[in-house]
Amino acid sequence: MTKLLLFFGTHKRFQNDFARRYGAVFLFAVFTSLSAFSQQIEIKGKVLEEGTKNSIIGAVIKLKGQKTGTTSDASGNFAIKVKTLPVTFAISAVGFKVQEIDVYEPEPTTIYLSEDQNRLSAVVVVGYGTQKRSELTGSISSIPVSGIKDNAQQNFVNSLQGLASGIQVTQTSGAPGGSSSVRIRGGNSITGGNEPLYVIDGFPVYSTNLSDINPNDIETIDVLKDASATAIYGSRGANGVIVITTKKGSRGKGTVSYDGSVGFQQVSHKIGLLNAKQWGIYKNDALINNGKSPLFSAAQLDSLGKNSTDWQAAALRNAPVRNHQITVSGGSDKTRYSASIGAFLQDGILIGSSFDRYSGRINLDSKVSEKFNFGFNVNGSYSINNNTSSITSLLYIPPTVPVYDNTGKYTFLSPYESAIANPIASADLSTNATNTLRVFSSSFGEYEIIKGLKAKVLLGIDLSDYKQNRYTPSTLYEGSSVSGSASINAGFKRNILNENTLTYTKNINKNNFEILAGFTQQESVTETVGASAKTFTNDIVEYNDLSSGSTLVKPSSNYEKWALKSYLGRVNYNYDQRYFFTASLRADGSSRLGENNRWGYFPSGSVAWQATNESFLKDFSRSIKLNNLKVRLSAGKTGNQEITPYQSEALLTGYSYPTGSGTTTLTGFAPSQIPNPNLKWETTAQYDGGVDIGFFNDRIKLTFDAYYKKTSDLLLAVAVPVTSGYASSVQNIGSVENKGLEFSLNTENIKTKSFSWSSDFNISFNRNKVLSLNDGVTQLLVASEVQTGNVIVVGQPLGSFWGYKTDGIYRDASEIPATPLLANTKVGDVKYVDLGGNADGTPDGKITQAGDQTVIGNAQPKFIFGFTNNFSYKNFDLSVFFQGTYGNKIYSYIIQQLMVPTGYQNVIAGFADHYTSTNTTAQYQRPNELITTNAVSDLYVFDGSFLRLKSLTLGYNLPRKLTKSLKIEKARIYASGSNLLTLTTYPGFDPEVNSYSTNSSRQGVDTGSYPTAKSYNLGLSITF
Amino acid sequence: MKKIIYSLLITTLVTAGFTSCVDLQEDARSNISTGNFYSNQAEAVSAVQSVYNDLSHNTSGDHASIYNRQLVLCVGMMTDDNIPGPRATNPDVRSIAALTQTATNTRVYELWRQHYEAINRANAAIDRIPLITKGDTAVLHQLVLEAKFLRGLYYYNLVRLWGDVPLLIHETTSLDGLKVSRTPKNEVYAQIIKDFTDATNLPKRYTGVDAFRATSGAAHAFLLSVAVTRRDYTEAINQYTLIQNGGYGYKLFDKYADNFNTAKENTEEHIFEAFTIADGTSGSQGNTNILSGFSAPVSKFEVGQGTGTEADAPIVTLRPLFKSNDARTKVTFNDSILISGTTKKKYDPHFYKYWDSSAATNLANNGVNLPIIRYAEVVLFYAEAQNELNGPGDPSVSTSAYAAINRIRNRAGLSNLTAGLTKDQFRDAVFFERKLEFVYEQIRWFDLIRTNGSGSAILVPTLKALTDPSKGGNATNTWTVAKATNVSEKFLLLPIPASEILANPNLTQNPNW
Repeated sequence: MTKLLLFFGTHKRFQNDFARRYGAVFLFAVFTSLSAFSQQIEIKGKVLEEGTKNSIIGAVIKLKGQKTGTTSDASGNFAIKVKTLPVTFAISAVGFKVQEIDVYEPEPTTIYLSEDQNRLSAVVVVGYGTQKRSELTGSISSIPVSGIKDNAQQNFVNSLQGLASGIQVTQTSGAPGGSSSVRIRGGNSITGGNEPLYVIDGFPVYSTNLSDINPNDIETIDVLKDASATAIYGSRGANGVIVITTKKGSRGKGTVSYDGSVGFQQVSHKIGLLNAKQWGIYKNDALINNGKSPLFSAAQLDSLGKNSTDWQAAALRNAPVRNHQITVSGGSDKTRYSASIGAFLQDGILIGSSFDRYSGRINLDSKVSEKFNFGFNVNGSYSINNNTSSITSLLYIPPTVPVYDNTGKYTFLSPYESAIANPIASADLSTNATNTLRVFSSSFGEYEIIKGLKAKVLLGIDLSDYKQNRYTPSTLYEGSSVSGSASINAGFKRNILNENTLTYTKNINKNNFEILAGFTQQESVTETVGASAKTFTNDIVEYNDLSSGSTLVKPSSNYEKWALKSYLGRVNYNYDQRYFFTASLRADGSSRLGENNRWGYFPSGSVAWQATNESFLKDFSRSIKLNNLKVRLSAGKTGNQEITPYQSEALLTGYSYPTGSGTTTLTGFAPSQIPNPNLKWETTAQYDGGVDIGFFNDRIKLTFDAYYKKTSDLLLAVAVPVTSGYASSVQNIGSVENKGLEFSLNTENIKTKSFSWSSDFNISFNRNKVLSLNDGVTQLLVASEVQTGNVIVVGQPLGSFWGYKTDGIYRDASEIPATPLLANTKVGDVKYVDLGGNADGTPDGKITQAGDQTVIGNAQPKFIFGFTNNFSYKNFDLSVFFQGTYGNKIYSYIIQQLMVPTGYQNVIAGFADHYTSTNTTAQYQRPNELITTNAVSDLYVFDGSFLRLKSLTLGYNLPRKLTKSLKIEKARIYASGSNLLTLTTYPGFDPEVNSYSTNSSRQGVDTGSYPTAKSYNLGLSITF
Repeated sequence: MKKIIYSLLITTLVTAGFTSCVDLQEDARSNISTGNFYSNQAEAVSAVQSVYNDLSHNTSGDHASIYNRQLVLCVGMMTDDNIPGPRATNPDVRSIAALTQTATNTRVYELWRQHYEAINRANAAIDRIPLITKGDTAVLHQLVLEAKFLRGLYYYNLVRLWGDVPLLIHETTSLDGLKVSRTPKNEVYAQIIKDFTDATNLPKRYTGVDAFRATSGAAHAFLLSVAVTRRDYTEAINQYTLIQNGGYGYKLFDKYADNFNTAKENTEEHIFEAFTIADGTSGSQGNTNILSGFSAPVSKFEVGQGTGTEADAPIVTLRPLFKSNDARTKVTFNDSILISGTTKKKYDPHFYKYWDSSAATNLANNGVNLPIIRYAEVVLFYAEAQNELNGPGDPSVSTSAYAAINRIRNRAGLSNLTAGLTKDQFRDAVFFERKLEFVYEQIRWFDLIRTNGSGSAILVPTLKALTDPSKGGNATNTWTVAKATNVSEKFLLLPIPASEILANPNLTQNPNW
């Protein structure tokens, strides 16, 4: 009962109590008569933010039932004239809950607005426009931006994880500047892209690298999930759409604010490996098992114990991260502006890696006349990303190898059979730096032709320019055989967008219409060049003068272009805020598809019913404190064209062959793909049903969605008979389905004047299945993917792993079949399970590729979830965010490599317990020089489930008194940590891993990605 | 109202203005398309060059190409010559060497794929060059004949390795009709003989930059090879005579080592080679010979000889077959390595044929050509055919089978073959001589699987003998045991790649795969 009270006991909006206390209780009796003789009564007031007591600028104060209204100024003050008292004011501001107060006398009044975390009344950015959340018919999640700001992440995509249902974010690499892969409601496509479309200030960008966008500049992030929401981006909506709006200025006194944080990161988990002594014993056993004499004597083994190199410790460091940003914003009645400059400087936890970004942004919009307004937005960034690539070698190199040799120089090479270069030297001495300049701009003009009819022309341009410099000096093993090697790669990309839309809004009685029609076009051109040289006299000029290398490598250059044209239309209609309908149609033409099928048509329709606005339900809902009940249904088709350009064309490629001169070649040309003029759009049909429920004035809010998606005409690189001269051809073949449930619950558990506690919980279940591939094909094994266990099997989800099942190790010779998998199999080797092989599928007593491989796991999680709790007490706020996945498997290629039993390189710590004639109960196989690679098996499939304390933030808002005396508007200090705690059984660096993020047939593979860091930050934000 | 009209007009104009700037036509300006190619002589030359490319380059990203290691991996490893070295980590290669591979083996797929890729390129050249009107008709005709020669060569490999194979003689230009069936072996051979016969109209020899091109002599040499393989020994003698009397000037190098000397490329003994150059390019589209690097030990054991990978190694029984006075021994193997300027260390023998002394410090940069057919093989084919038709003959008669084999032995510094052998014994002696002469030259497997004058192939008995000490075998070595245990008649034909049967159900599998 106590719990219930805690939960429900304070549901009354305290602001109302507060207002009534002042308005009604104290003053009612005294001033009632005043209204009688005042024709123009001025009422002054102040609008403040609840909790922080900061003034709210630009709040709209309206007299209920009348057209009169005003807005608050920079200090939150307003004044409004009324004819009679009492009146009811409705006060609203973006991001805050609408507040109604009854005013009985003309006394100054203070109105406190509370932040609208549910944002039901807030507007949501939908394709080509905005909509009130209450009027939505589609499934759209808004991400609480506050949650991503305090974590000093260079890429906001990394922070989206767990914050909304239906979105799975997996960090591809923990490296500074690293990106993440995002799947909205599962992966649809096999060959085509699966990343969502990002729309930044109206500009559609299909890219996985969004580290050029400063997260601090982001105002809102809305995720469009179902067909109704995404179909307006028809062509590219199949993977969902993430709409990002950057910060705009607001009317009122200009403000200058500073946001900054400093922190450091450290590795969250190291991989357990053998130490020098353990490795020495293991190495000896490997030699003995191969009929050789041991390498280390007992005395040497003892001294190894004292000189073990922990290569991970040598390569990892506590790395600082700093973030500074200054924002100036403000505006008049007509013009608003916001400008910022920022610097984000991050060192990686592995030596030699870093990411620095300098960015600037200007956002301006102005109402030029009553009818015409324009907006201009430009975003520029310059980043320098230093990469290190020696992650796997620092795991492989044996612990008996010292970092430095006797002379104090770097050890050149592992002296054992595997040629492993010194990873510390590689990280220290080689260069691999990419400098990227990106300018991103969109501007629009909007003209109101007649009342309600607006024409808008938007022009956007996204320019990026990069240069990658690499140099491997001759002093490193990697560069020694070629006396140093240098290369540069540069690219220039321009992406131009034009959108022309007409919007007509009309309200006739209770009928509300909004009609949108438009034409858009986008074109992207990418040009790249690359050049490299080897054999340098010394290591001085590095990549800065390729011509000084005496071996010049063939240069390369490339041009790639694609274009997209679209016609779109949408009608939103609602009757009396009770019945909502949306219908949209988009026609897209893409250059990437076959000339016979370039155009695709993508319709959608949706309906919603706002039950709580029905008069017949009002009493009932009031009685059960239900304030919102909306039922949504949608269906529609969306498309996908994300294949590289020119796949349908009859192209030739150059294949050179040496001439008889002994030095030169002559370039040959031959057809390199089968033309496919019928290549068409990959299409996803999606059905969604959802319910939004709010109780106690949205103190408890539930959203539930169920969906079914079927993607057909997959853009699949289908294996064709190679007798044709070609291995594969991109065709429209096969289908994949995703179905799932999404659930989110937001509650304001406690809401008192000084203490509040709110929770957001979301959980998503997605089930993926490959329905069909090309005729008669039930599984696809791509040769290059076999080594990481990847397979596509009809009837199984994408991301399945294929290999042998194992059952420990052979402990008795009688267990070894007549034909084992590997010749020379002995007791102590891995025991592979005989699953079949005979024509009728029964075991044949042999372990063979054909008979005994099977599905050994899958990378798709059973569910993913996020759980955020926000607390505030007086000026303190605390946010705790947990997030996780359950039921997904990881194929750990890195662990597979760290279990190769040759003794040529290091292995996982478990190998201390390896099989020998005296340790017959060992868990791990005997050292065996003959097994230079491990067969793909379930030994390397691990549970990828995890629960992570993704972020923890404690903030303090300086009290008004103090800030006032310091002449500052507001100030907040905070301490935050991310990835502080991860509960998992996965032995690799991190269970959140996806080494081949762009390849949906290779999900859940860990090839030894850059380790994930946990980080600690201290931050400050001040507004003057 | 005026305002509305103006506004709409402006919107329309702006829209129309932008409409014209985006074009949905593909703009693949980094690529040539079939529409703007095959129009002049230079392009014809280029089209044929791409057919040669497949001899030693690979487009799939896999480093190995047909003569630049793919044959080593797919069939060489099955022979009684080769095994995977300690750093041949690919399980597909190791299973081939142990004869435990299956139809899903990636090497088998790659070898099959690369041949058909080359054939499609040849077909494109053969179909399209005759339509070219700009250029010297004679040159254009010659280019078509070169493409036919190469198509013949590629089909000759296919038919020997897989038996009945789909015979495609036109370029693939659409996705229709790709599910072809296997063509009977004899029909494939008919096409091979037709292509090689057409190619006998090619020039006799090229010099300079054109030295890599196929010649009429090479066409005759392959017609000889085809004849011996098909046991048409009369035709073999006929082709041998054409080569001898055709004014080609082929002869054995005085020194066996000159066969692998970059300075002697395309001279005397060389009839047809896959060309490589030491231009520092590596990888699948590189121009270097990669066999040297893959067969040599890693650099840290060997000063001044660059980096090897020790992935292709001789089987334990191979090296002892060579007599110490055989001049081929030191060219074929290196038994020791330099560990400092002058100190030598004994080491397991490794293949040394393709070591490029002109690029000694960098094994990855090797320009030694890969012989495909050399005159020594023509001579030994003659010995074999002559023996089958007329017996070993009298060693003192220059046209006898004995005289022919002795030319090869004497060049290697060996004495004449023991006189008085029977026909069967002599046949075995020829096969043994071929084994020693052509180690690591992708000839041994074809000798093991072809039906010879005895009426059967020597594959099964030869591999079984690997564990028989009385025949020089080793009964305890892992690889000799694996090969001897697992060999059977089914290996006479490779499996049709499993993925190929999946993609094309009209293809039937070879027996027992």
